[in-house]
Amino acid sequence: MVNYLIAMLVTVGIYAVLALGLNVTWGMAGIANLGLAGFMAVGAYTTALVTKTFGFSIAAGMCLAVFASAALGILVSVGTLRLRGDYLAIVTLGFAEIVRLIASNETWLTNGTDGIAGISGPWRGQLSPVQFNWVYLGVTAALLAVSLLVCQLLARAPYGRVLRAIRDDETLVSVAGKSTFRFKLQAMAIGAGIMGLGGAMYAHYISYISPDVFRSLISLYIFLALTVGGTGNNYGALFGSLVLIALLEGSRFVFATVPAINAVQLAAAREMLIGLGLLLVLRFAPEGLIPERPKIFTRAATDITPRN
Amino acid sequence: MAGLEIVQSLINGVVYGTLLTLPAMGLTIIYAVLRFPSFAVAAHATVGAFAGYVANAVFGMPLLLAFAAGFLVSGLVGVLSDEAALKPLRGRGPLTVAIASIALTIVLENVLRFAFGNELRGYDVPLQRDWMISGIRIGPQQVVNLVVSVVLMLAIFAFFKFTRAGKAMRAVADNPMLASIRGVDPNMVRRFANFFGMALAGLGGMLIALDTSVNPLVGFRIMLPIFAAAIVGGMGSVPGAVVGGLTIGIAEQMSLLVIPPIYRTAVSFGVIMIVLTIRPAGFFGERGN
Amino acid sequence: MSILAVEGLIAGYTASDMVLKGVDFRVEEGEIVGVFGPNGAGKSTLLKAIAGLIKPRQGSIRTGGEDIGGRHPTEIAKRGVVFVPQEANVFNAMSVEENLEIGAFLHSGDRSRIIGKMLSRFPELQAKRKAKARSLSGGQRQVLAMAMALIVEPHLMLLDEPSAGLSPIASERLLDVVHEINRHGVTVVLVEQNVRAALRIATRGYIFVDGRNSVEGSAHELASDPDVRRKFLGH
Ligand SMILES: Nc1ncnc2c1ncn2[C@@H]1O[C@H](COP(=O)(O)OP(=O)(O)OP(=O)(O)O)[C@@H](O)[C@H]1O
Ligand SMILES: [Mg+2]
Repeated sequence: MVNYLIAMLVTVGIYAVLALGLNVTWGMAGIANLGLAGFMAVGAYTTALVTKTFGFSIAAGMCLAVFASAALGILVSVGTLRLRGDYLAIVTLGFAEIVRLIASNETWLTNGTDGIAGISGPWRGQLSPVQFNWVYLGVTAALLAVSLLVCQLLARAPYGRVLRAIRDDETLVSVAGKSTFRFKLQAMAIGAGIMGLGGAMYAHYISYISPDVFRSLISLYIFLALTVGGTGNNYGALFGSLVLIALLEGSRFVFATVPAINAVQLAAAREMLIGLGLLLVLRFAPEGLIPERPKIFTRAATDITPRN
Repeated sequence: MAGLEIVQSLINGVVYGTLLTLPAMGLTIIYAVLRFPSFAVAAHATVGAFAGYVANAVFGMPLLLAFAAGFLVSGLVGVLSDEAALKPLRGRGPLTVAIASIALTIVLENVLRFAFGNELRGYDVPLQRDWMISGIRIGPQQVVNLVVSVVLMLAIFAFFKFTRAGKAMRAVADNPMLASIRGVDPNMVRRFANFFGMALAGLGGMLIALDTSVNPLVGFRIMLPIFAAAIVGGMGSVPGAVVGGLTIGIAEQMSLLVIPPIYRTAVSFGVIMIVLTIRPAGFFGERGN
Repeated sequence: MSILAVEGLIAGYTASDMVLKGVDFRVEEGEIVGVFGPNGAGKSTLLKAIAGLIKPRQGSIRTGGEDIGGRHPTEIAKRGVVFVPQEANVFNAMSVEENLEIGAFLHSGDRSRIIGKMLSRFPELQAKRKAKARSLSGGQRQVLAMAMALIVEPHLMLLDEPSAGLSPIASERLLDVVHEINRHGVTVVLVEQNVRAALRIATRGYIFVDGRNSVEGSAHELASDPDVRRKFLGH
């Protein structure tokens, strides 16, 4: 039971890192990056390959994972960031699907749909499973703390203010003479890099990855986590991930007690729950558990909008 | 021999492209009037495929009635789900609504998965032998699909060009504020656009499922090509969706001559990237910014 | 009874910030009432409130004795009160004829007849029947915008700076069209920057300052008011 709880906490930590990555792009800069699963996959595959094939250390593998994802983040958005936001949403969603296609088909590189097994974990060989879980919880906590620190510094710095300004009114910022493009590109790179880190953390924890893990549905999970926690708020990303895992795990147990429900139906019901959860939160608690700013400041402007 | 293969691919591309055109038109109509890209067209393509399946394979209706069922049910689900899930979010910007439309897609898709499971199902249609015309293979069902799509396409053009409701839709797409002060109720029109757009997505999904199989992923699998078609033609442009659908259909089928079939989705992605780089507004679109 | 009576109107775009801070405004049948004032005074906002595009916070907007404040824009149009906004006042992607068809959306009679009548009334539109509205000149566009509003045979037309952006000659000509429309029995509220030109056709006028009506008078009175002359007529 304790072991299960630790495992869940590790999962929360990994989701929290992913949600932090999303918070940089969507929460702070207002860029709808729907390619989360893709960047996560790139991170996971990068570290799996370099540690397994070239014997890199886990730390080096994770660093490379961050760089690879960040680089792809730039590549994907360089052509589309100048366009309207909805195009980027489509392109990044497509990107995630393409990553999955490549992972499924370039068997020479990724071992195809069979996935890559036996990915190393820190001292996995020397430790009992329980001990390993504890160690990895520590690793996760440390990496999460670093990510959180980076994101907090970003949010507090003038840089973060510019990003939020871009999110709230891009024209205004560009009129003020700032290149919104450069800022958005950097936000995409940082966000994608953090998502890549999340993927790498996942790979070294579970030790096995396959294309199926990185379905676009993950992106929705993380949107739910961030929205529940409070879009724009880094601590919100953390709390939201806790809520998400509680929901995912809780629903597994609750739905499993329903008689005459088969495995497919169980999975379907849980996915439905996530979708429904996101819709409900967007509708009834758009500011999440930890609002970015106190309510008084943000409410007034949305009260009366001109009719059209 | 190689020449024959190319002609065959071209024909396959035109047939597939015409099928894509319907959901792409649905997407573009909704975009024109409601101003957000609705990822939920994917879910409604699946809804249409299943509605047609239930009508045809469960209740034994002929295919033509099943088409009508696919059209009406997905249109209705489109209106209801929009009222319940997306409409309340409209004031919060197109991206939020777009993300919500993905959540909606997941919900609808999983309702179907819950009810029908993951297995591949087929319509109750007699198995017909493909025709061979001087070395070119054409399936009778493909011809039916082609005819249905083309007829519908023409009907849609006529609708927008000649009818009062069609012009009201164009007016709201053009300038919702002005439309409302001239007596066209934008909310009514939005509802109508949703019905119409999702109904087209549903029918398109059914036609594509006829060509492949009915399963909960029918719509999701064609999401990227649908978006590619709409973007190539110019989001919001109905003729654009036709040109875009054909472009993507042909590009995808032709590419199969040189790349493994599994990568056909990647073609849509590649085309989106190319078009957005060199001509962001698409063939018929307004300016991209 | 006044064709339009606005009393104590307070309204704005957000809950906290009221653009109109107490407007009293009256229009009698058959008049052309000019509305003048510096940029940001709330002239356009007043027209939008009357047309139902924003909701009054306080006060009343009456036409024919009925309070229309807060009604849906379509409802207000049905009562014969039509608004021609300053910008985006035609459907750019639609042809001139289609624009008129949308204008006739609320008309219950023979639409093609009334559209034909409107086209023959404005020859510059007749010549461009099939052209997309975005291809029209500024003056033609304004005429189309007004023609579209006239189709429903309104009692009261609210015009927001119809001559904005036009050459002096074109704006003279456009105000003549407004005058002509008025002579056909349509009461007009005319927001204008070009006070001198507007006073030539107006019967009465209001000066707005900071969300309130400050000065009111007949066209003659306003034209001879020293304060108005100095601020708006340049001498
Ligand atoms: N859609 C809007 N949302 C929020 N504020 C607005 C909006 N439109 C106008 N305002 C504000 O309302 C105030 C009055 O604007 P309004 O357009 O009524 O002025 P106006 O008298 O018509 O000026 P102008 O002569 O420049 O047309 C201005 O301070 C403006 O910033
Ligand atoms: Mg104005």
